[in-house]
Amino acid sequence: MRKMSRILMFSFLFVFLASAAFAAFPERSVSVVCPWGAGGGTDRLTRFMASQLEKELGKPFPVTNKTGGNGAVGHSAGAFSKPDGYTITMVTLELATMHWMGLTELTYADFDYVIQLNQDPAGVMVKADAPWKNLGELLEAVKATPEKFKFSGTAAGGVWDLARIGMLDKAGIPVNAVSWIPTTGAAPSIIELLGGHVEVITCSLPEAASQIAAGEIRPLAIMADIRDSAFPDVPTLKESGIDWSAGTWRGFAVPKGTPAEVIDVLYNAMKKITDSDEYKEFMGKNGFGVLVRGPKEFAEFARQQDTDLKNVMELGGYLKK
Amino acid sequence: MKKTLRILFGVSLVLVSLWVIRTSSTFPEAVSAGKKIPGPAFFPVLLSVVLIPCGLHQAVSALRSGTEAAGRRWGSGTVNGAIVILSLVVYVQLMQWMGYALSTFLFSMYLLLRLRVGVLKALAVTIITVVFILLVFGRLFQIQLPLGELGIPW
Amino acid sequence: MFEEILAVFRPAILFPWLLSMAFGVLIGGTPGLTATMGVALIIPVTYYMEPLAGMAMILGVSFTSIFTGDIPATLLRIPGTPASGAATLDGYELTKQGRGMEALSLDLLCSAIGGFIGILLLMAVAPPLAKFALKFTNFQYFWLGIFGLSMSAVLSAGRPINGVLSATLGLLVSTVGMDITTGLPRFTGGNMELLEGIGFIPAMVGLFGLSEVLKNVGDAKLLGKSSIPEFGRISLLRTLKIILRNKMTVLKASLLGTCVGALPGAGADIAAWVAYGMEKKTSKNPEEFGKGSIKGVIAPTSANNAALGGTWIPALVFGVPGDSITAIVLGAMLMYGLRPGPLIFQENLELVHGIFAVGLISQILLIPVGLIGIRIFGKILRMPRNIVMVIVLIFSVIGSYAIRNSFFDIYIMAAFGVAGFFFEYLDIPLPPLILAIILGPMIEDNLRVGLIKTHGGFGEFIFDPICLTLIFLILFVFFGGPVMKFFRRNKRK
Repeated sequence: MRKMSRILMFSFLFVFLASAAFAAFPERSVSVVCPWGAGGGTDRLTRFMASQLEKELGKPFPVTNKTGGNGAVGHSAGAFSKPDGYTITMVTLELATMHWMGLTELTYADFDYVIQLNQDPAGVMVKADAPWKNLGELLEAVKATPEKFKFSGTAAGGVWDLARIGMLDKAGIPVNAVSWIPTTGAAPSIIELLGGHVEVITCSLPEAASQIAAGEIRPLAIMADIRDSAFPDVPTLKESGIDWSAGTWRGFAVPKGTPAEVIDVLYNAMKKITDSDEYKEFMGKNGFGVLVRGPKEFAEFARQQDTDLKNVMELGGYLKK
Repeated sequence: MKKTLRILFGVSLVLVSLWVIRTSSTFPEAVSAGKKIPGPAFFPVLLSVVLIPCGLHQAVSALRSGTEAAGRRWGSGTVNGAIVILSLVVYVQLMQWMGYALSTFLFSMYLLLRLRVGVLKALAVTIITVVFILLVFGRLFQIQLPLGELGIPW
Repeated sequence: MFEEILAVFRPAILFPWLLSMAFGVLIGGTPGLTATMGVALIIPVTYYMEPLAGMAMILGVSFTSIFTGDIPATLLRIPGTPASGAATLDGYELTKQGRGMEALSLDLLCSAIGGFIGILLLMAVAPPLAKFALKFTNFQYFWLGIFGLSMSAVLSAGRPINGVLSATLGLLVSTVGMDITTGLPRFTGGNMELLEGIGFIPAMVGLFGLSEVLKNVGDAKLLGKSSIPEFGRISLLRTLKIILRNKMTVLKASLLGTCVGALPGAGADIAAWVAYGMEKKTSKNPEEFGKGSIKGVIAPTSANNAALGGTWIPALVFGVPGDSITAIVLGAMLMYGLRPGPLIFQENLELVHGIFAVGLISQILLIPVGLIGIRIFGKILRMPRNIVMVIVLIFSVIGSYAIRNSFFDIYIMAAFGVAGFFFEYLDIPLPPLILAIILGPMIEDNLRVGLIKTHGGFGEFIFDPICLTLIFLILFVFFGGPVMKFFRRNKRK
């Protein structure tokens, strides 16, 4: 058995070395586009991956933050650069939503996909002294007096808003009956919740982890297919009989038409990073959920998200075309 | 000169405000819990309504101010100002083409010489500035300075 | 506390700490590089250090750069960071009178004292202050934004009506881009770069940096000469005496600054204006302000550094950011495996005490570091104008570009530079314009989101103790001068 695995390992190594020798990519530095600002969560992940890639492939991977237009500027800059693999882009869920909002012509189809690195499901949270002990009670109350309820979590039409719309719709509650209080992200929404100015927030659980741990915020549900091992007591929506899961995701993509060998080199290097303990430790510390998908699965997932989210955006009145 | 400029400024404020009001009228309305609420047009229109009297005030008070007051002279200084703006535009175009270092060098040398700084002094100032930015922005802060289409690595 | 203070004097902490303060001097003194950006840029470096060393670097950069932002503001009237807007008034006037060094040394010591008071308040009353700050929501933030803006509109040099015009125009500029409540792009003309709005950094660099360049190159006779002929000398003892004479101003401004900083929706930029305005409005000699008043230098600089301590209050007590710097700090804490928020006082009390100690000592270190900064910038900025202006121009261009790697932002900078040049010529004050661009989103979004909450009603914006107080203060800003005069006259009778 041991011999077998050793042979396997050597043959893998051989194939890997051979392919590396064959494909000379990368010959020079590879620029990494991050569509979000320096210091934020996506930026931290991008910079971590860039520093690991530098070790893995031996060439510099300088990160460029090209922010603006709800991610439209950075995604477009990445998608419309030369398809030679020397510009890779950290793509996020907004790729699937912004063109429906009429912000850009860019769609998921303008990219070839390398690897999906992460997925964070949405949560449903209320203040610790709120009267609703579980999701059922909350939704009953919402059904009874929807106009009383204020939900928050991010900007209008942002990922956590879409998660909220989908949940309410699947629970049979008219989505426009409750108010969505737009903010610039999860952190200000948490302030609003703690101050008692909104009733419910729907950001990811790790974003509110310290307030949950301190007993100031009560999580009621998670919009995922299975429970999160970091929050084992929080039930999924499916357990409450609501067939809905939603969340944000991040991954690397290259411009459409990039040679397959180049994508392979990038994917293999990144796969090695995602298999490492360092990666798991980094993701754990930052509260990012780990979910790795290869090029084909990631492309399929992005396509799927595009149609799924279109429906939700239509319900929320965000569809522009 | 100042009088004419002030009148122009006042009138253009009014025109901009009117344009804002017209553009805003095409914005969709906002709804909260079934009720119409002030939407995306509300704030810009409100500001325009404040700006129109401000603009009129500028124009009218300039008209009333009587004779043209002797303001600054518009001689070689204006030419220098125009040159700064024009060379700035050229500089940005050059930077996109030949990258940060070379374009900054040319821009800095041109302006310094134009402003009558000695050649050696200009050269010293230019080199120190270019290298300083390269080191501090590029190396220390890891900001990607423009590479340019020529692909010169700095 | 004593052991904790000793514990921070280890090479592993002291070395990166001092280095970060040197960075802070560079960042603050360069128009276009802000304290927030400085912190974001050094964060990746700190991941390989122990948490306290990282926190020391963040504190060092932020306090130093907020101070050094005042150096170009005082010497050239170009604010190095947005929080230095108010320093362009009386500080620059003093420079014109040949007392630049006096203004800067006052600025430095008051920054240190303000920062010290801010940290002391953070240590002493963080929980109750944070609880109070949570009471603020859209209705209150809306009025707070208007309050800060009206201060700057009324108090900048020139006639108040021109200040109101400038502020209104700035607010209009801030509506360009995507509307946060509906996601609708407004006034962008289909340009994607404008979706995020007109960046206030390029706008600020243009309004103050480029317009100053244009003004200077226009005067051919002066080009070969320095723009700061007389500089004065540093005398810390004399400065200290001046501060002692104005100790109530320092104290009031620092308390006010910390409270404003503690509000999660407001930061150092607004704190400086509020402190300047309160000082002028309650002064017995308001006519001195804007003409080189000592109090007009002391108040804003004490307040903006005190506000930095204030921003850590919600960050440590609730784990929610007090401003854009502490937002990055919270992210960094996660990287260290810490859990920011209420539990940090139980789980990492040692680190919290370490942060307090570092914060306090940073203020003392700020004095020598700041003096070096004043020396260096003083030397550079006193070179002949034709050299200084070209250097300012290059830094303006690179700084505007570097914010988000965008050539478009350089053109924004250029456009605002030309506009700023003409506005100056027409006696339209620039500080309200830039503050309005910064505060515009805060004012409009809070108004609109508040209206979503009330389903269109305006009652909540008025019938609330905090709102009423702010409305009263705003009315006082506009009409307070004559009222105060009236009361004083009656008293004398």
